[in-house]
Amino acid sequence: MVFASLLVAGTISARADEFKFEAQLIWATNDQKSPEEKHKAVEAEIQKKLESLGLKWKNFFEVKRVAFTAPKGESGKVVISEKCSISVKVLEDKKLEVIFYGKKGEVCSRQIQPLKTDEVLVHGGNAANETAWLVTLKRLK
Amino acid sequence: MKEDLQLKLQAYLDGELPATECPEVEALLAQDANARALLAELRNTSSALKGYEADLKLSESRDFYWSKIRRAISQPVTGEPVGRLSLGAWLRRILVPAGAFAAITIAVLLALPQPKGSGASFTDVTDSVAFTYHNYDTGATLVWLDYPAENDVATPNTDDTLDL
Amino acid sequence: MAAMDHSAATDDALVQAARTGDMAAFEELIARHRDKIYARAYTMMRNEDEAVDLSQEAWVKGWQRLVQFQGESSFTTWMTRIVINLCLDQLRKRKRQRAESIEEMDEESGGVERQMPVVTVNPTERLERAELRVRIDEALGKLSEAHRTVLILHEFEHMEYKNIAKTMNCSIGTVMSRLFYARRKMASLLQDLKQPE
Repeated sequence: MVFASLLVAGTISARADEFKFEAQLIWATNDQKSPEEKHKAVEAEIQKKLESLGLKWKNFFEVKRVAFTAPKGESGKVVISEKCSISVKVLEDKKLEVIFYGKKGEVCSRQIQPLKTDEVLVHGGNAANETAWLVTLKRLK
Repeated sequence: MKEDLQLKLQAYLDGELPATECPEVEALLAQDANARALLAELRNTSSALKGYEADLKLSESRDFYWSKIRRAISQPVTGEPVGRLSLGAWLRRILVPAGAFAAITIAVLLALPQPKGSGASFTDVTDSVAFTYHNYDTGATLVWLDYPAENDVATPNTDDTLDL
Repeated sequence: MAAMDHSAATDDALVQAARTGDMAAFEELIARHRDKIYARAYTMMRNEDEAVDLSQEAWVKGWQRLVQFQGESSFTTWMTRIVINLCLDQLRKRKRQRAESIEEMDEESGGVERQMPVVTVNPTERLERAELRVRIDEALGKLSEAHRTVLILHEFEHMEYKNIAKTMNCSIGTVMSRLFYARRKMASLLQDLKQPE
């Protein structure tokens, strides 16, 4: 499998035969503020979508945001943190194959689903002190 | 009033007193106001409890509740189907109290394909350490990975800006 | 052959269909009776998550044992007994893991309930239904598991003393003492309310 691995901060342009995605690493907590000053509250749109999942945490802080592309018929993989990465491939029927990898590169989850540009796919798990980590995936094009 | 008499009074109320002992209790009730008061109290308590459970309702949606049962009964009966169900309690721990979901349409998909014609297909093809559910109103899908709080998958740390 | 209209079918018809493997029929039975089964589990366990889990486990067991259901009671009565037994198993497991409470030791030695003053006010006359339900909920939570169980089996399940004794693996005398204590304690707890202003 060929991975077109890109790790780019900020916006990137996609060719006509490429699909553009954005992933965010988010910290979910009921604390009012993150101990890290540069962590900002997520945008309203993401806040609303996360709230709709009925999670018990009320506050979501963006830890990192990465944009990446996936060429048609190939996977685009991006490292979210030293402990996880995500790959996305657009399938023939326009559905996405999304694979979530753990820190040893092991497959933690594999989803095949449609994802419209106004939708979001969220992977999550427990973190210390009864908080949680979330990785959101949005399709930009 | 002696304990055995009190218990006979209770049995009398419950229709459990042998017929031969009823006259004794009836005589007691006729002459002892305390006995009558105690009987009334026991009767009132029973009345108060009637209908209590009628107001207890499951807050989980029909589909959500059924999906876990269906999964369990679809498996071959071997070792631990019950263990699967207890993961539901774990899932509920990450969610707000279920009552908050009353107005939200959520489909819980546990490695089962959607029926044909539903317009969407969500498939988790891994070994079920992940739970997936989708909110059709907002278009948000959650894949929750069953890891302990120490979490060795993706804890934001100082290198990434946050040490958890 | 026309597909069965499950929503219009009787419970008996659904049970028969479920016995042949018709999961949709079983699902309809669940939809109709899940609240009742859950309610019984919740009343016994006092914990929503546990009650949901045990109620679902009861449905799974019900599916597995359908062939044994002969119609000797209603389907809901049969299912209720399954969930009660599951709850009792869980409570027994818990009890093995901890020492008996002082209250239970008190109960075994007897006498506390005889000292409680008789409650003369009927709580159902004074309270709105919703408030009464909340009070009962609180009061049930204050009973020991043994007292609550015997109360539930008698007041909600309408079991006779001898069947309660068999279910709880104790003597009829113990059932009578526990039931008496539980009722008197409930009356006392329901009485212990803020007076309306």
